[in-house]
Parts: sequence; structure tokens; C-alpha cells
Amino acid sequence: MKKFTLFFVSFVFLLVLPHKGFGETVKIGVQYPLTGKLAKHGQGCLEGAQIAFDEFNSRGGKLKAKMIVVDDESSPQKGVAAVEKLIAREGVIGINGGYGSHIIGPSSETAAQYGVAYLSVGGVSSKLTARGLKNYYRVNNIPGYAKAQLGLIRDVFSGEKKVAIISNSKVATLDIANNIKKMLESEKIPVVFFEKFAAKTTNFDPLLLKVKESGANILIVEGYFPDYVATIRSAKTLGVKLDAYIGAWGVGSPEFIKELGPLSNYIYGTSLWEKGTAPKEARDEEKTFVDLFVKKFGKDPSYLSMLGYIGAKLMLEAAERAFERGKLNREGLLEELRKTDRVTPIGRVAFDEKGDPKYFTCLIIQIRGNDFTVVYPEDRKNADAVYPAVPWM
Amino acid sequence: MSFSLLANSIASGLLMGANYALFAVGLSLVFGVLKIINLAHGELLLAGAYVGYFAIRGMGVPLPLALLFSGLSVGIVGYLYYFVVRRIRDDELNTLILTYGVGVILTNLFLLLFTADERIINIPWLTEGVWLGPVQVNRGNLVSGLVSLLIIGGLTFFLARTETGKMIRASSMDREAAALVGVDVERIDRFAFVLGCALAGFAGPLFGIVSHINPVGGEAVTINAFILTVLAGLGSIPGLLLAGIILGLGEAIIVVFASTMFQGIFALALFVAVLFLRPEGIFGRRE
Amino acid sequence: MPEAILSLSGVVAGYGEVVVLRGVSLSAEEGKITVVLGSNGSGKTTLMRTVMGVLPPIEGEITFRGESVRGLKTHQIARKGIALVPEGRRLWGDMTVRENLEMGYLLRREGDSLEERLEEVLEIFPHLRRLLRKTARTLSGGEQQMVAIGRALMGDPDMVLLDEPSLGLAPMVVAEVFRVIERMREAGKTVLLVEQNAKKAIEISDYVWVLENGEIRFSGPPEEAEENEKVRRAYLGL
Repeated sequence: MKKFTLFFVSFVFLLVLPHKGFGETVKIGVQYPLTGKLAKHGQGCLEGAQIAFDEFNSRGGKLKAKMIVVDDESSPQKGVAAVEKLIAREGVIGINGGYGSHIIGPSSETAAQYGVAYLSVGGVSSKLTARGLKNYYRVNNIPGYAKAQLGLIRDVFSGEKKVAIISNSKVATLDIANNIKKMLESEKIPVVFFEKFAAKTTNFDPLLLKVKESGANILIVEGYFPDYVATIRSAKTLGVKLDAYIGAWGVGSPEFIKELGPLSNYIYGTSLWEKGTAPKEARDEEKTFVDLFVKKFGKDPSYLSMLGYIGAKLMLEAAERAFERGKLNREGLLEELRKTDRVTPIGRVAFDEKGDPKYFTCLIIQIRGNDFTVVYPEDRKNADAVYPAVPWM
Repeated sequence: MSFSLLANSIASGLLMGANYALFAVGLSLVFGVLKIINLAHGELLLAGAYVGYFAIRGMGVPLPLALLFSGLSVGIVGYLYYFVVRRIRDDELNTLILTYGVGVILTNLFLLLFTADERIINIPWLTEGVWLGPVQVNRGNLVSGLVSLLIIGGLTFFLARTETGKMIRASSMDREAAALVGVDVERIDRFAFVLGCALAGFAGPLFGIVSHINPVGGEAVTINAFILTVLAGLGSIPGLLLAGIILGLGEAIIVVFASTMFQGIFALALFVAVLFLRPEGIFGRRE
Repeated sequence: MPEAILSLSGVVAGYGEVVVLRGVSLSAEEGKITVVLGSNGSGKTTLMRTVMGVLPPIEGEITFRGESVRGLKTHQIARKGIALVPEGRRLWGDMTVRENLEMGYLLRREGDSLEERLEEVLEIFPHLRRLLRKTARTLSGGEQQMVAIGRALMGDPDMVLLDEPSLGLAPMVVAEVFRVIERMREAGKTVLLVEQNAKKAIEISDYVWVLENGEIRFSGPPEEAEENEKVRRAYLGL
């Protein structure tokens, strides 16, 4: 009988033990488009996420994390299937990732049906947080782009300011354009011209002529590579007198500078992160990440990798807190994720009740010669803006 | 609205229209003579653009030479391409599928060789504005527009006046009758097809100057070329120039009075209107 | 038959699955007018197209000047010196009369210049002289037929095939067409004429063949044809 009691006790002990001490493993799903149209973006994010998991598992804590990667093939349908698989088959309690609002939308809704947290770094559409989902969070959003453009105009530029805004009619760019327009107007900075243009516009001359007639001295173009190229070319051709040309994403890319050459000089654009731009509090974290990344992949991390890193890391930190509270499940993770508030290399991250990042602001870069400088925000810049200046004057 | 806004928009639209015609002429020629809609036209033009890009930016080849080189290279590609097309040319659906497939293959080849990067052929002196009387136009657009006039004028002359040109016209109107007077219609087909491809290649670098190059941009070029070809009337080369100008001008003026948002609708409306009112094309003839 | 310049033996031809010529053998003598009579659907046009290589024969042999032309492309056969004036004229409507005629000159092998050939054709059809600049589509049917025949003559061929040249033309014009065909014979050309207008055709012919349902039903000199009961009933309405 004694023997049996001993056996029973040790059996119960063994059953209970893993839950309370020696180490447990949390399964986190990481969903990115690794093939298809968005593969380049998905791959970049995934590389960053890998660093976050490596770092987490080598920190020596009791909780280990297992990263389960799925490829949504840049397709919304495949994204839903990937989420189903992660939750039902793999048993993950949180999902990280997704790139592109049209994929993240249905994917995060599927996760919501299971009450599984979904934290994204690649979906900026305002619609995503207008759905009232309780499980959806993100670290970047559209107003963050507009906020940075506003800050540049309001805080960096001096003298008289008359702003013209033209925007590609695609959802994301138009979203930024509407945001910046509202923000400028509420700051009493006059927007003298506002027009959207169709995605495949070939001749920008008439539009730039209208900008010229409007008397604006600052032009904001919310668009993509071809739009920047064509509008800069037209502005130069027509001698549109401007003090600043501000673009959005894509301006700081190496191909932009390489292809446009001197025509890109002094152009402003937005960026989520550049090496060496972390706020003071997060300088060390940035350095650690960059070092680990270079060691593992033999190249410098892109902003995508930084986003993927931060997304995964915030998720893991929430899991750790839930674990310490003894509530490492879907609900506990969600609760802890909601409490996130800390300064990361891309700035302070905390979520509002809709899941939007309260403090997110882009960087503003300005092209100078064959490189670019970060000119905004004040605490993260590495050079002063050259103003007024446009490449054609 | 000021005079300069309107005048400048008109000038810009005219030039853009001439450029449209240049980017469409290869497709129109092949369609007119062989009755084949070459859905790989845009990709062939891009192939020329890539050749021009690396010749001009990489090796510093002067533009006129780069144009000839691009035309020649794509002409050679067209020659090989023709041997595939020839086997199934009598079946319209098959030629559509085949030429579309060739386009897809080329697109993927571009992706593989040149990555998805966006490129432009950036020749500094062509990015300047130049004054033409009261209006300012882009020098690149102007050069490309003038080349367009030259090509369309030259091709029109060639078709109207030379013996080979007449053979092409005869063969396109009635193949059998042409064969009966001793025209080797298969040779004429091959010649017209290769010439059409070479013209697409020739236009490529100019496209890279006035627009931008990326691996998936061919489809839009093909669609535009097809619309112009239908507007112009089957195989009408001078008509192509006029159709291009109507389109370019309309697009520019609509921005002045409304917004660029209506440019696409304008092109489509024009297309539908022509199909309903003059299915033979603006400059085509009624049977 | 002596001196047959063109001969067909056992030619089977058609469109896809449909066989139109069911083993046709016939020949044409050099410098003579040979007439093939046949009603609608008898295979006359198919015969012409097969000779010219537009339709490849399924079976049988076709020789021109003793050489096989079977398997040659249309333009190669044409260049051997055979010109066809096709049914329905088939001019290039967008081209001028002059351009249409000039295209015919592509068949020349040696000798006369373009201007000389043009003069000769205009001498045969003086009416065309003032139409040279007109677009072919704007001409009347009779004028178009003259251009079509003129085009065939521009290449100075040894043999001319005519596929129902009188079809749809006014009687005056028909008479001129037949006069021109006789002139061809005077100039030493061989003529193969396919016609429904049997009376006129037999009148100028040197030899007559009758094609029915893709088979030769009669052959003989014109006098014999006129005597033949079947020919009289079917084609001469007697």
C-alpha cells in the first residue's frame, strides 16, 4: 500500500510539475506571405521574427517559445486556412503576422472566432481596427504616416505654408491623404489643393499644372514609385515652384535613389525604421537586434525585419507575463498583450481600445545625394532638414 | 483656369498621344497583316526597354544606337517567336492563348533576371522642360513624340510606296489573291511579324524614358495598344497616330476640367462609343 | 493528247472531310482555249484552286509543262507562269487600279518593264486608262473584272485560268470579256476557262470538258459538245 501511495504521489507530482516550474513551451503562430506577390515583404518580416524567438529562447527563462510558421501565399483565402490550421491543429494561443490589409482582415477575423490574439505589423488600413475585434492589435497604422508628415510641415518647415495634396486613389494612400488633410486643417495650415488620381495615370502634366496654379509651396504626394517618378518629372518640366516635395512610403528605398539620381535629391519620404534611429530608451535593444540579425543572416536588417522582430517580441513578452501570472492561455495572452506599453526601437508602443497603436509615428527621411538623412521626429533625427529645396530648382 | 494651364495641357496631351501611338504600332501592324492579337506585345516592348536600360545606363550607349540595338534584339526574339506562332496561326483562340503564354513567360523571365525592381531610363538632359512658344513640355516626351511621327510616317510611306510594303498590304487584304500574283505570303507574314516585334523593341527604351519599367508592366501596354488599334481601325497606321492623339488630348483636357480620376473612364467610354458607332474604327472603312 | 501544257490525272480534292473532286483527269493544250462546263456546285472553282495549290490535292497528280506542281505553294505555281482570274475578282479594294495592276507585274520573269506591260494591258482595256488612280472598290463590276483580267496579264503568263469571268456582268461587258479571251489565244497564251455561260464558251473553245458532281462526264471538241444530248439539255437549254 505504501508503495502504491508513493507511486500515486509521484504520478500526480509529475503531472502537475510541468505546469508550475521546470519549463513550459508556448506555441505562437507566425503567418506571413512567403510566396506570391508579397513574398519579399513576408520574408523580411519573418527573418525579424526569427531573431525575436531565438533571443527569447536563449534568455534562460522558464518559458520556452515555439514558432510555428505558415505561408499564406499572399492570398486572403489561404490566410484563413493558415489561421485555422495554426489554431485547430497546432494549438497556438497567439498569432503574429500577416502582411497586407486584405489578407490580415479575414485572417484576424478567423482568429477572433477562437478568441486568439492576432498582432500584425503589415496592415495599416483604417478598416482593420474599425471592426471592433477584441483580439486584433497592430504596431503601425495610417495616421502614423500622416502624423509624421504633419510634424515635418508644422515643426520643421518655417515661413508661409500652403500645402497641395495629391494622392493615388488606392485605399491606403487615399487614407493617408485624408488623414493629413484633416490634421493640417485642424492645425490651421491651409490646404490649397487636394485631388486624387487614378492608379494608372500616365500623364501627370495637367495635374501638376493645376498644382502650380494653386500657388502651393509644399506638395505632398501619397503614392508609389511610378507616381513619384512621373510627378517629379512633370514638376521639373513645368518648373513648378515648390519649397518641398513630400512623398510617403518607398521614397527611401535604394532603387528610388539609384533610379532617380539627382532628381531625387531633397525629396522627403516616410520610413518606419532606419538603423540608428531608435529612441534613447531603446538604443540597446536596437543594437542587440541588429547584431543578432547580422550574425544570423549576414546582412543588415530592413525595416520589415525590424517590424517582424517587434511584433514577435511584444507577443512573446505578453506570453511571458501571462505565464508568470499562471494564466498562459488564449485569454491570458490577450489580456497581457492589451497591457503592452513600452518604448521600442520604432517608438513607444501601447494600444488603444480598438487595437491601434496610440503613439505610432513614422520617421521622415530626406534624400541627400546618394543617401538619406532622418530629419524628423526631433528625438530620432540624425540631421537637419534642408528647406526650402526641391531637386529641380 | 488660365490660358497657360489649358494650352500646356493640350501640348502635353498631344505629345502623350503621339507616344501612345508609338507604343502601339507593333501590335497594330501584326494585327493588321496576320490578324493575330499579339498579347505579348507589351512584354516585347519591355524587353526592348530592359535592353535599352542596360545599354544606356550600364554601358553609356547613346540613345539612337540603343534604340536600334533594342529593335534588333527584340526583332531576333520575334523571329524565333514567329516559328511557334506560325504553327497555330489559323486558330484564333489558340493564338490568343499562345501569345498570352509567351507574355507570361517573358514577365517571369524579367522577374528572374532583373528582379521586381522599378527602373527608369534616366537621361538627365531629357528630363528638362523645353519651351515651345507659350508652352513648356518635357524634352523626353518631345523626343519620343518626334520619333513616333518619324516611325509612323516612315511605316506609312513604306507600306504605301515600296514593293514589299504593297505586298504586305495586298496580303493583309486578301492573302489568296496575293499568293496568286506570286507573293510568298508566308514570307510576308514572317516579315511583318518580325517587323512588328522589332518596332515594339525599338519603342521600348523610349517607353523607359517617358514612363517606367517593371516586369509586370507589359499587360497595360498591350491593352492600351489594343484599344488604339481598334480605335484606329484594323491595321490603319496613320489612324493610330490620330487615335493616340484623341486619347492623349482627351485625357489631358479631362484633368483640366474635372479630375484625373476620369481619365480611365474617358478611354473606356471612347472605346465603347467607337465600338457602337463605328465598329470599323475611326479611320477604318465600312465594308 | 499532244502538247498538253497542263494535265490532271485522278485528282481528288476538297475541304476537310468534304470531297469535291472525285478523281478528275483533264488536260489543256498549249495555245488553245479549253473550257470546263459545270453547274453550281459541280466543283469548278475547287478545280481552279487545286491547280493553283490553294487547296492541296488529296490524291492524284498535276503537271505543268511536264513537271509536277503537286505540293508546291500557290506563289510558286503562279511563278511558273500560270495566272488565275479568280471567281469574284478579288481585287484589293483599298488599292488603286494602278496598284492592283502593278501587283500583277510581280509575276514577270524577264523581259518587259512595268511601263511596257502596263501599256500593253491598257491597250487591251483602254477603258481602264482613266481609272488608274481610282480605288478598286469604287469601280463597277465590269470594270473590276477588267482590272482582274488585266492584273493576270500584267505578269505575261503562259497560261491564264479564268473562273466564271462573265458572272453577274452586263451582256455588253460579257462580249468584251470573251473578245479579250480570244485575243489571249491570238497572243499564244493557253486559256482554261470555267463557265456557266456555256453557249458563248463553247463558241470560242478548242476543247470542252463537262464536270458534274466532281467527275468528268464528257470531253471532246466543241462540235461534238454541241451535238451531245446531255450537254445540249443541261447547258445549252435545247
